[in-house]
Amino acid sequence: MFKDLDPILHSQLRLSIVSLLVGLDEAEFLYLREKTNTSAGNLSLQLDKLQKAGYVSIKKGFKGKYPVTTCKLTSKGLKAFERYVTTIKSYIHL
Amino acid sequence: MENLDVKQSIKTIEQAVQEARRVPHGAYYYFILWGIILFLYYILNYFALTNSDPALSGLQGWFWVVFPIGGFLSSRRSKQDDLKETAKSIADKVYLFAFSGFAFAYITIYLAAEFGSFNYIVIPIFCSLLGLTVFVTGGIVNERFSIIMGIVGMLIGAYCLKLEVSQQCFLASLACLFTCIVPGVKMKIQRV
Repeated sequence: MFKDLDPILHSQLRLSIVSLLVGLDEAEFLYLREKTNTSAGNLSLQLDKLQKAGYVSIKKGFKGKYPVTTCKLTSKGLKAFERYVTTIKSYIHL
Repeated sequence: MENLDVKQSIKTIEQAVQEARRVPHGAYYYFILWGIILFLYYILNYFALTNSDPALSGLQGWFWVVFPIGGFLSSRRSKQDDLKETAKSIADKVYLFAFSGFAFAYITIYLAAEFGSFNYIVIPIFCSLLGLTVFVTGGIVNERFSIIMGIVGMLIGAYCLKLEVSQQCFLASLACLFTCIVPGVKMKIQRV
């Protein structure tokens, strides 16, 4: 039915992640986990898929003594999101 | 492909975008801090230029110390924010780039004036640049009050052109009050 929709984005969790990152400069793993209300393992898996598609860049570093993973939407990810929204709009004739 | 219908997709996007908008940018601290720093710098210069007390005039060469104090407090706050924040809003970046650009342009003009003979134009340019920066950033992050205060700053800058340097200093301090301190306090109250 929705064959024109990007399969990477057409998933509840991945779409949530990308939509959150669209409105932010960058977000930590902790923030995404809290806002998407999902498990660390599942979030990690979906982020990995988004990273492999080139939609999200992931940076690992330290905040004080603690390790931190920071995610940022890439320009490819932003374009894919814009295309996704355009396609969705065409389905509902907006 | 996951069985996600169009309405669900739209709802997911809307919720996430709304959620991301709630991330505070915390710019109020820098607005208030630098507003006070610049206000003090110009008001002290105004008093030094209009007062015949030699002690105050002698101190005029030391008023610049407020800038490293501002730099130290900004840097300390930035480190504290980095430790606390789990997400950075786009507004954070807008403010960082816009005000870094403003500072660079102002320092360049200030140094050029030191070596040239156009001191009288530095403060009008300062007020105009400050007003412009607040106006543009206010427009980008949808802060209508900042847009208005930015216009006030630019108007003060234009009016300053007609005045002597001491009066320019007084108006520059007012520009700092209107373009930085007042919007900063409003942002703090609104918790943005």
